[in-house]
Amino acid sequence: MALKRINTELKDLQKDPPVSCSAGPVTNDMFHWQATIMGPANSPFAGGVFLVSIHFPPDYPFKPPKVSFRTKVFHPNINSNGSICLDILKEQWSAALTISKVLLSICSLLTDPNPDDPLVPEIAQMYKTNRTKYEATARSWTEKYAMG
Amino acid sequence: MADKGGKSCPICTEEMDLTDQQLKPCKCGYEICVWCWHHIMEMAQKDETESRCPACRSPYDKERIVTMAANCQRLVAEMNSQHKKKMQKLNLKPKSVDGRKHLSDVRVIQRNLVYIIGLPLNLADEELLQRREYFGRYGKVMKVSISRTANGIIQHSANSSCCVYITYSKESEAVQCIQSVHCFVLEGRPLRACFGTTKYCHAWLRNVPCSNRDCLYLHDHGSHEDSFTKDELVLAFARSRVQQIIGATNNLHRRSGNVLPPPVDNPKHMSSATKLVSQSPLDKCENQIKGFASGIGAVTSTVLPAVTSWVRCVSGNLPHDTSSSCSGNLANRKIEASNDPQALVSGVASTERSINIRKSGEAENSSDVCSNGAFVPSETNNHNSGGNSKTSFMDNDQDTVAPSVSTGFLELSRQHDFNIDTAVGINSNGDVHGLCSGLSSISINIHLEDSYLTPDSDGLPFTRNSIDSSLGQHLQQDNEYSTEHSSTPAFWEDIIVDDVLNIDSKQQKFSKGINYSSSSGLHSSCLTQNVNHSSHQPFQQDQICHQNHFRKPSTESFNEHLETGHVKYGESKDNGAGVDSMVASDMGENNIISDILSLELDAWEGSLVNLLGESDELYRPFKAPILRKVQDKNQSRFSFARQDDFMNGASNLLQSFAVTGRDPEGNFSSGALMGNKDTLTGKYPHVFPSGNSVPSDKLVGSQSLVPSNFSCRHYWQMVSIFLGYRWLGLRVFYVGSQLVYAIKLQKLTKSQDDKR
Repeated sequence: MALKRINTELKDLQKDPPVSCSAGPVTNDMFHWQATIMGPANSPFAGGVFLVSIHFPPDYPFKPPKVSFRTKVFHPNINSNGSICLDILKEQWSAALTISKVLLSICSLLTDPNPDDPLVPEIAQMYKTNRTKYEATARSWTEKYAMG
Repeated sequence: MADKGGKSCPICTEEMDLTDQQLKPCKCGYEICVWCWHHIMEMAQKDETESRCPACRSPYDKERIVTMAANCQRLVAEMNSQHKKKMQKLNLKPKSVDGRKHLSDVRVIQRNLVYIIGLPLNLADEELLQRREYFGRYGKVMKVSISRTANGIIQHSANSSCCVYITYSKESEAVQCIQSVHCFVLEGRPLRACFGTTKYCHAWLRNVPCSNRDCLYLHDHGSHEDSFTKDELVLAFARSRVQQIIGATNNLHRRSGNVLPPPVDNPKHMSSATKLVSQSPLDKCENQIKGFASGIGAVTSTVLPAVTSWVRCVSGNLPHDTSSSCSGNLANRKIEASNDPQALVSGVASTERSINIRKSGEAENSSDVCSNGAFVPSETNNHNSGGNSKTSFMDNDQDTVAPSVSTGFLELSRQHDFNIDTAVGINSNGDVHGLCSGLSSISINIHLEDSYLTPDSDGLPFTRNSIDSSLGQHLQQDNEYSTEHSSTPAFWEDIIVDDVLNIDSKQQKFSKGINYSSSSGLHSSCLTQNVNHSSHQPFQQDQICHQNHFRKPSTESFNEHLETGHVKYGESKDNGAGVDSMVASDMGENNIISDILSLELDAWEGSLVNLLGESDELYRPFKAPILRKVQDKNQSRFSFARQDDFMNGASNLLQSFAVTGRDPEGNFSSGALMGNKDTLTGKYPHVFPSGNSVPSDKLVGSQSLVPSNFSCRHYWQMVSIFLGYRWLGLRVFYVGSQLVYAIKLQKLTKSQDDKR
């Protein structure tokens, strides 16, 4: 059942791809995908290409997929390991959600971080107190890791 | 909001069936399949959290959803039944010729046909069962048919019971029989009774008149209510099993006895039944004896009822009306009120019995094919089962359950039909296989013929080829033979040519007479013979002798001419041949005259020219054509040819003198030596040198392309040989008799030498 759902989502993605995202299986294993997220234009991550890996659980879509960044990102809700602190990937997951929706949510997170539930407190503190420094640091990280 | 595919679950993307589509678990309208919904509920229960709608994340109200699910199931059942009815209508609406083909899968319940299983074998007799003591008591029996195998043996199950088809004249009679007999225990065995089913005649389906008068299949459209398709039978069969559990609990109530029960609605028969029970042993014995005695009659009666039953069936179908069936149903309902539990039990028991029959794999007899191997409970049973199920089913479910039960039985019927069809198919396949084997054998025969013809056809061309080749060989052999034959004539021709040449030469000897040309011809022929055949030397010697013989007279005539004419005439007399001698003398005179006329020189010069001319002629005839030409000239015009010869000789002489001056003198000196007076013994050595010179002369003559020097030598050698021969001949043949002639020759030679 999960495989059929995953195949259906892949066809939908290929038919109507999102604006700033692309995704597909890495190899013949349909339960392991690789996605790319373009940095939003109105954010310090603009111009960067961030690599994201996606692993589907056997009982998908009743359980959320595991999504993690493979590119270093200076973000309060994303740690150095690439883990993402996003509610829909945890307790707020719904069987009606799809990969395209998850990727769009991640783009939205890049634009508007959520400092109230931080994964990296230092970055969250900087985001709150010194926005200018945060943006400069994020941009330098983007130029250093996401543009090469 | 998730897109409503209408036919696929947005979560699992599986197709949603009717039940899934009826499920509406959330107010927001987000529809998912039952499986996904159940899975979400289970996960929530496991995680001890609230189950929420995937779309709006509002918690699911389980109690409300359960209620709605129950309603949905009911609705689904109703829709299924409606769909079934539509299918039936669709199947039956097209009644044209082409539309009959779909009826091959339709089975029609025969209201006047009763199918009973469980009868004891001792009652397996058509005539016996027709009596009023047995099935005749419920009504007029048109036909009784016991299930038999192809061999005519009665089929019986493990408990030694048989199955019977009984055709009544009226539907009511059949109903009474079923009500009375069904679930009755006869001699310890329970009986099962229900309506039988029949299918349409195959010929009628193809719009072809049925040629079998005893055909018991249907030849007209059956009523819609009694028609069922195989698919419907299959669907209903599974559900009919559920009723078995309920039926088992009611098995305790049973009727039993040793005689078939009387009709239920006749209270008078109750007392008669009691009497029959008390007298059962005696009645049974009598009945058996009667049945045995009338066995033959039973066979005859069996045939007639079949025909009449068919006629009644046809007539019975025509006046069928809905109102009559409705009234019948009402009557059945009244009757069923008193037999509710028994009817239900009988329905279930019938199912079990049918299953047993199917499991045992008993095949239906060909005579029973018209009535299918299964039975259908009457409407009374259907209604009773429906009524009994009120406690567990809603009112709306009656229609759903009842058709399933009846169709279950029909499904069993279809099973038997399938077996029969399968058997028929197997037989037909066997026949087809036989035909195929026949065809294969025919093809094998054809193949064998081909294989037989192939070597023949190959052999025939081979034979022809061999004949042709043999003919060719024969022709070649003929050619060889012809070649040999042709070669042989050539050989003989060669021999003939040789003979002709010899004959010509001989004729020359005899016809030429005395003249230089003829003598030279002989000499040339001798030389030719020597060249071709060395064994002809003796012949050559003979020729030489003859040549010398002929040459002698001419010389004498010449000498005599020089001295006196008288000697000439005397010599001619000596020859003995008058005519020949005259001819010879004439020729001699002509020669002398021609010599005098042609040559105005001295005698010596004339004689020399004459000798040279002769030598020239000797030189020419080495080739046959030249020889013949010379002969022709001599024969046709001797004098003119002679003059020509002498002229040629003169030219040759002049040429020889011009070339060389010493050679002639040397040759003549050798001639002078020959002319010396020696003894015969001393002269013999000269013979051998002249003989040796002949081969050298031949060799020189054969070389026609030799230079002029060789030709000069040739001339002088010829002259010397000629002189030698003449002189030797004279010595050998006329030594002792004519000394005068020898002396004259010597003188002539001396004179010539002196002139030189």
